[in-house]
Amino acid sequence: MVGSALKRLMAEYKQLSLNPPEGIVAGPVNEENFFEWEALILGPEGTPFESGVFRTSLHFPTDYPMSPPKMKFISDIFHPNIYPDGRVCISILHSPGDDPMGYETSAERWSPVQSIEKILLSVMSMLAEPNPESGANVDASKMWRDDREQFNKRAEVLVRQSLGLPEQL
Amino acid sequence: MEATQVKQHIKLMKEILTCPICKEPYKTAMMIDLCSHNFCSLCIRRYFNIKQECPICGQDVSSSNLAPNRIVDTMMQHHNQLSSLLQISSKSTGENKLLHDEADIMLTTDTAFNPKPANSMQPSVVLNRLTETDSISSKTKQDENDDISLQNTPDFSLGIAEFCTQSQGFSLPLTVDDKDTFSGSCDMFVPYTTSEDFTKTCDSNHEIEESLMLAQPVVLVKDEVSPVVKLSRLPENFASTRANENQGDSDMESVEKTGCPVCGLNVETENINHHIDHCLAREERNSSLRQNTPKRYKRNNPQVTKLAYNMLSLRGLQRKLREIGLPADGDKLELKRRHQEFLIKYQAEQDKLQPRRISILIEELIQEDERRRASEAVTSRQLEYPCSIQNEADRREHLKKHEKQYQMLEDLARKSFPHHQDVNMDNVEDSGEEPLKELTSHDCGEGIVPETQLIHSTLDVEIKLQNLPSLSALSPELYVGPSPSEHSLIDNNPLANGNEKVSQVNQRHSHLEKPCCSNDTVV
Repeated sequence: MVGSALKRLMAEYKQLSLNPPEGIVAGPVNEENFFEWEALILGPEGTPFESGVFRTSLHFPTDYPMSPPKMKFISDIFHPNIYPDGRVCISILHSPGDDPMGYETSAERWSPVQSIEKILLSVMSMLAEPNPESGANVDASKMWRDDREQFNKRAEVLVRQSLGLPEQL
Repeated sequence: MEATQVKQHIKLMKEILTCPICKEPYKTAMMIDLCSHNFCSLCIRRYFNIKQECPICGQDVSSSNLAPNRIVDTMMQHHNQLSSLLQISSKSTGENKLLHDEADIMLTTDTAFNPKPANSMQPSVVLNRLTETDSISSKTKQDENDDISLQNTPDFSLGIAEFCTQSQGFSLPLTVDDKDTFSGSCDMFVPYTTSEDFTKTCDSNHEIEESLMLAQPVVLVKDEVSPVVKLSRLPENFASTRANENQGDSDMESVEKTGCPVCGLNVETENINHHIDHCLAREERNSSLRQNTPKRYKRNNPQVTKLAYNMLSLRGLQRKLREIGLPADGDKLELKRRHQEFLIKYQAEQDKLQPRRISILIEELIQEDERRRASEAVTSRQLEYPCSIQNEADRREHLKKHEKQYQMLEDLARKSFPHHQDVNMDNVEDSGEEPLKELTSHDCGEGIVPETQLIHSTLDVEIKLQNLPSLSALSPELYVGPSPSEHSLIDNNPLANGNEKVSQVNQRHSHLEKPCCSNDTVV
């Protein structure tokens, strides 16, 4: 089982490094342990997170791809669908068995035919279009809905922070 | 077709023949009968253990909806053969002559019998030839159906004679016409085929029995043509009943004959009973081959069935495992996992055309278990490294504590890379209070730096450089980054030990990541 997980992860790593999707870089933290990855996601253009580079960590279970990996933002981020501690709330990362929100169709959820690339692309589009209905960060959801301007400002601060730039001009 | 085009199509075929779960070529493809999606047997059975639905379309299905899709397996085989053939033809730069020479050498030295590792493509070629021989020999067989000896066909023997002179002692069951019908890249390996075939003919391989007996007449004809073919005289036990019967037809006209009710052949009346027995036995064998798969598939071995794990006590579970022959150590969870894994493996094995023995499976499972334990140990060790960035206060504290060590590292690095001193000096001093974030939890003074961190920091640097060219306009100082020469120095310098490497990376890292409050160039 570990063997097949490892094989699949290697195949995906190869695919990702040969043919990387735009704005995404991902790979194992350590070549000796393919079950811990880090990924960098570029904030999508035309969104408050534009140009930000967000570091995330991915932890793969030994029965991958049967179970989904766990994903966490290492960089600080303020987003309706990301818990304050960095965990990402996105349907593609929910294992087919559990449905914490109780409304996802199984087509949206994890299945072994999904891939790391698809996860990262989904997270990228989630950054672009938050879903305030399944708020993981209630403050962010509220702000996004009621006070978009302030949300954008906050996002900009985080973008600058992610780049190591000073917060204020 | 162009060679590149061929390759493209082969590549496309490979993509189609890839299991969507393991992303590898199908192994014992299984199809879900409700939605026609295909997966490896092992993959889909593992998934059904978690959730019983199609991983692609989400249709509710169970393992009873699975059926082996043999055609995919066969296609897989042919695809592999094709791609290995293409590799050969590209290696030989597409010249027939080269192949001739190669084949000649192989014939004279008899390497075909004991392939050397240097000639890695050889074994696959031997296999590849099987189908080819079949089709060719069936063609020739059609010609001979009227019991006309090939020697009497002038143009055919001429063709062979010509070819033999060309290829120096080559005799082949291929007619010149056959060769012409091959197009493009196929053409290149045709001569190869022949030598292989004949070397193989000498080999008493049971698998090729069928093709051998079909090819027999051709071989006999060319007995006089070339010395090679003499080798290929068939062992007597290979002479098929059919061939015997044919000979009987022509030689002993006077003997009384009866038509066989099974195969329709005229057989001596004396031997008819024996012949019918033989015919029937063959028929049975064939039909069992055809029908066995679904039957075997449906009939689940009663010895190994799914267990209601929650209803079993630890001891009961242990007993069940021992009955199968699996090790029964570990807690209940472990035992359950082992039994499940075995069950999946076993079922997947039963899907195969030729399942292996249970003892082999058990051995495999035990080995896998050991590997899993080893890798889990590694994983837990790896997890001790804090992956996340520690907070600012921690970092400063750590820096204060290890200031001297950092200084020492930096000095070391500067000494070993004197020509970079000018470039990096300012940055190093600027960022004096900016240690590597990731290094905070390790004692850098001893130079024990996990490879992880190195990869981290270099990765960061590279990515920022690659992905954010537009930002360099915003703050040129920030994105200067290391020059290519610096890269190569760090990566290739065999003398650079861990300390120096770290320090170098430190400099680059902090150079990029430091907050530039003091920097006037920032807008």
